[in-house]
Amino acid sequence: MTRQGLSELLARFRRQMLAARLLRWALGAVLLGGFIACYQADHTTRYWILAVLAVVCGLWIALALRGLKALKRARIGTALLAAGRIDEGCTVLAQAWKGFTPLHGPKILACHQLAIAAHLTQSYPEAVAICRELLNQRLGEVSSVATGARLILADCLLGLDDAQAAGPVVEALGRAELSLADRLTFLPIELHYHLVTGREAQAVRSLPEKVRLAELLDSSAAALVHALLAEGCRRMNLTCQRDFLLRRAMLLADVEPILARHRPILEGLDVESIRQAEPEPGNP
Amino acid sequence: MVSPQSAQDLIRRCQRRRSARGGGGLPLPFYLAAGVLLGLLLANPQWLHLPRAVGYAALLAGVLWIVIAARQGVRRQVRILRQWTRATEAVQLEQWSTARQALCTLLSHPVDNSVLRAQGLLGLAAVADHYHEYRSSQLIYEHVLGQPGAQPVQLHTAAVGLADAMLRNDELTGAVQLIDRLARSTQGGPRPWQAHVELVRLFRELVMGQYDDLLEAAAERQVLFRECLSTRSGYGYALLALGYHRRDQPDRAARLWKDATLLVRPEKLLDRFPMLSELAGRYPAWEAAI
Repeated sequence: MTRQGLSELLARFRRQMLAARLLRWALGAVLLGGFIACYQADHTTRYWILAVLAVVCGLWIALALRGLKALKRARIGTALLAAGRIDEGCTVLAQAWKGFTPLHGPKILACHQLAIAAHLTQSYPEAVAICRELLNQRLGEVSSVATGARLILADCLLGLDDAQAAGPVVEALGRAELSLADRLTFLPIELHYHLVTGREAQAVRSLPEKVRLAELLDSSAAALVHALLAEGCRRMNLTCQRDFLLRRAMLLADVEPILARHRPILEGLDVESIRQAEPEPGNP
Repeated sequence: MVSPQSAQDLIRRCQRRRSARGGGGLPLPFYLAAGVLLGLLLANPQWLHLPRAVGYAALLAGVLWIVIAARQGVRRQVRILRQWTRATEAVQLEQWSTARQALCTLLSHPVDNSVLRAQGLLGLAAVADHYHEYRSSQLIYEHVLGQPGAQPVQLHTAAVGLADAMLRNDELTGAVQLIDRLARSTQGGPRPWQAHVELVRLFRELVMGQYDDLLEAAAERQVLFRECLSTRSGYGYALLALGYHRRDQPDRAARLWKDATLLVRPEKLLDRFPMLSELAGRYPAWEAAI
């Protein structure tokens, strides 16, 4: 998707969300107006008013059914993304995103999933634009999406080496009451941010708790968190902890790709010295 | 503790009610009847032979009541879901006492959502496993496997847990059959599922003294555990170390034991697999620096 195409899509999304909100208000006003008019009207006029209200409600239901169709598409898109079929997932999600519906839930869900897809394909500028748009919306009953959007936003901004912009997002997430799943996603992002901004003391604060959380992650993510914590310990001259964490990282996964991907912050980690002290653990 | 009696009692109490209620806490037909009544009132406010103003006031009150009841229903659902999340998080974080308390409270009432019910029961089985109440966990896993509404991942977890519990309860024939069936069904399936099955298969080989099979598959298993089990691969390394130790290969046993204790503390390893005490005094373990 080109930058121009994305901004057009985002502008359209914004317009549709505004139109949907106005439509909801209009429906509420029509219903209330009809109710008041019914009170004042005579018997025949009342039936006419009720007929008009029935037509309005019918239109509403038809539009809401479009929303359910969009919701179905958004769910299919989510399943495709989860199965690793990113391109197909994006196509289905874009369809759900483009269509108009007075229900804002399906559109928000599709938008969030598109941000996830952009994040997965490392299209960080696109993911940032989508997340910002999402966070500008009133999320209402789907407010849980906001945490997910903030997590993607923070990670993408750090991926774009924009720690300054990531700062407020990371701090807001740090203050929020997160679920365990969100805390696990947030942990490497927070550590990355602290190390990149030279706050290593904060990175190694509550070290046992962070290690405990890292143990719940899958192998490669756990190895990354261990490596980030090891770097924090190195900068704080906690040699014993650094060696322990680095050894664990090496045992959990191949650390070379991790070090290569996070070269600027993990440059100081000396895997070779650990390897020379004892042959690499974990190899059969 | 989760005794077999209390497990059985919770299984019975958490079953879905015959007439599941709507989100607002009242049966759906009640809302439909209220809707029809309000429609009739809107069409003809004097239908109930009340003054017009009273009819409209009743209509307005009815609409407000439906809106408030629906909102309260949603809030109640959110509150219950939060309690479930806390309970399952406590299981993941191995806060066993908190998890036991929370799950016993939640499962002592009917749970209409079958996925949530299976999740709660699996959490309770994990708590029972931790307290070495393997009869209770076997009971729970067997029940979850008979639930038609459980998700595939829940059924897989229950099957692996059941095989482990059967081995510990000396029901070897049943365990062998179940593990063989699991190994066949996960072949070509998701790698993490294969890793779980291989771990329980490894345990079975140690229990039954099938060391040739164990050593033959050791290298492949080590790779699989490393790839899929994260820090829990420590349990797999420790069991492999025991296999090598019993086959008189102390160098490999020492190496694997050291790797295992780097990932999982020795006391935790021994708590889950007491048979590992053979290794604990003999080979050096990592001193946890954190």
